[in-house]
Amino acid sequence: MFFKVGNNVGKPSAGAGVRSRVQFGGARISPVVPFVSITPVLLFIGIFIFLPVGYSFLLSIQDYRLGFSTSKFIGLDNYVELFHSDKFGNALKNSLIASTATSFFSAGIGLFLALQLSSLRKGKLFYQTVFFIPVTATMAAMAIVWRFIFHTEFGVMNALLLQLGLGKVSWLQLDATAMMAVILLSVWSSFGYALVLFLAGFAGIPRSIIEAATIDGAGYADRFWKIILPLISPTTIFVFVVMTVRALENFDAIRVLTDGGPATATQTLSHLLYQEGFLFFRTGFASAIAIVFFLLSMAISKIQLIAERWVHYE
Amino acid sequence: MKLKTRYGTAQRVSDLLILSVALVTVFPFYWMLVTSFKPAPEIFLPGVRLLPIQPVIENYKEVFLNSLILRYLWNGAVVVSLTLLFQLLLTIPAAFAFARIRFPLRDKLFVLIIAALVFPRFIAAIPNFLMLSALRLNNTYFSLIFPFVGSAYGVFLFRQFFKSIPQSYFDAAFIDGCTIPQILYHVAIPFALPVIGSYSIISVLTHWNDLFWPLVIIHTNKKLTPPAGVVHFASGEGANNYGAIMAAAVIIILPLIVMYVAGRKKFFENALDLQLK
Repeated sequence: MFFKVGNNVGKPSAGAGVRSRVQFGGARISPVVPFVSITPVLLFIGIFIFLPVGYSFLLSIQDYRLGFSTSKFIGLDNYVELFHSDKFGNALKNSLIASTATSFFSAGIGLFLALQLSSLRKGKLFYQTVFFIPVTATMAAMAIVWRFIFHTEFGVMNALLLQLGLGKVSWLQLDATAMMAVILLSVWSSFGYALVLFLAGFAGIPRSIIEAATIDGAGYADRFWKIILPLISPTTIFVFVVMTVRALENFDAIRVLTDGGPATATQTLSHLLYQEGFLFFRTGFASAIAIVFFLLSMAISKIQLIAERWVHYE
Repeated sequence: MKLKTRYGTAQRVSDLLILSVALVTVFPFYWMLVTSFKPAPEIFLPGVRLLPIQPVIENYKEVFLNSLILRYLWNGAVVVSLTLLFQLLLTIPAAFAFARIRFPLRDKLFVLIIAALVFPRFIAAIPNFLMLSALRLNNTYFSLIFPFVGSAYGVFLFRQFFKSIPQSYFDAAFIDGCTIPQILYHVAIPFALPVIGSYSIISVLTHWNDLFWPLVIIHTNKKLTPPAGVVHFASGEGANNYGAIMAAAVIIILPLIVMYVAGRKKFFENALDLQLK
């Protein structure tokens, strides 16, 4: 290729690799700077996230019980056991019920309140702050408070029912009402988050569109169904995903409010994982639950991507 | 954005609705507070009493004398402040490098950081527990802090922010002979203070509130963080003493509510905006 050489003669940048490719705003700097900046954080993420995630996969194909020296590879036996066990099926079912109901009600109440708040003249920040307090309050402590509220004998919930002339309910002792209590607590601690996300979504709708529609004679309902709802649909999907993931990862509330009970009526995947992994020390089995949990959250993000493609208006 | 223009009946109904949902929302906090000032016999009276007949502070005395609440609060303060300190020390320089410095493999390494965000916290919990126990580091502050200092979320958030600053601000300092650490300290960080503030609120809330990890890794009463401590109190010494349990709940929730309400404006302006982008 001798006839091409001439083009490069005299150019200082020739010979890639000789010159440092580490640059700050066009100027060369020492490669030590980025190396020292990013290595510590990568190291910690590697040690406490990537390494454990990889190790979880390995554990999930072993018959590993803490305290027993034997741990042998058993292939997919943990998963086979998982999908045949009533415990897992029950926990999966409860997780799906609780997270679906939570995201549905949280998003619904959040959207409704966001619409009401957006037409407030003043006090928006005040109400936003109030509705968001349950999101920030320590869940373990508030679950203790809710447990007291639901107490059969001394709880304020039953005291209210009695004053209304209705009978007492053993909220946390019956399967159906215990699940309702879990969902209620979960919605209470989440809808403020949905509300704030919806308000942020509204901020992205140009006022001119709403005004134009109003001038053209669109009523309140039309504006909501035909303009606002379609325009915020990316926000809506985002809210549903955030609410579902939050509800799936919800451990504190269930551990304190019902501890999975009565019996296993409100036991979710996260609670089962805790029980198997850290109370019964069936490490391999619990790791298999963790992997399924992970796949479930991947599936939710996948659904989000598909849904986003669906509603993308431009 | 405004949906309605007239301040008519519809608006009044809407105001009333908002107010009633707000009252229902704060009721559990109110009930917790009121109950914490009720003497035991009053708590067991039938009917709904919105105020104590004879307010007492016995419940608070009970908590401070018969539980390790001060110890729990101290543990919580140590854990959240050291966690935050290390998070900021590690993530800010990394975020700055990812945002402003061009180096080989930069984008591939950043994808790795983003990838760390997709794993639910439960998947790493079992191996981390085994690893820390094998090193005899379980039941220590170390085990409560160091699994969380490599915050992928922090790197992501600060990188977003650093990318939005025009390069000319840095060029001036660079030409004057500032080194990169000096530019970071004197130019970039002062700009980023509001974002650092929002991140700090989120980090403190997350790590103060968490019950799962302390339950897993801590097995002596003395080392429990506030949520694990209050759960321990409610199931042990304080069981059925509802006044004292509510007092304990008030004590551990209060510092955070105060912090959140004080920082609410900044919190809503920065944290959520950046999260949505």
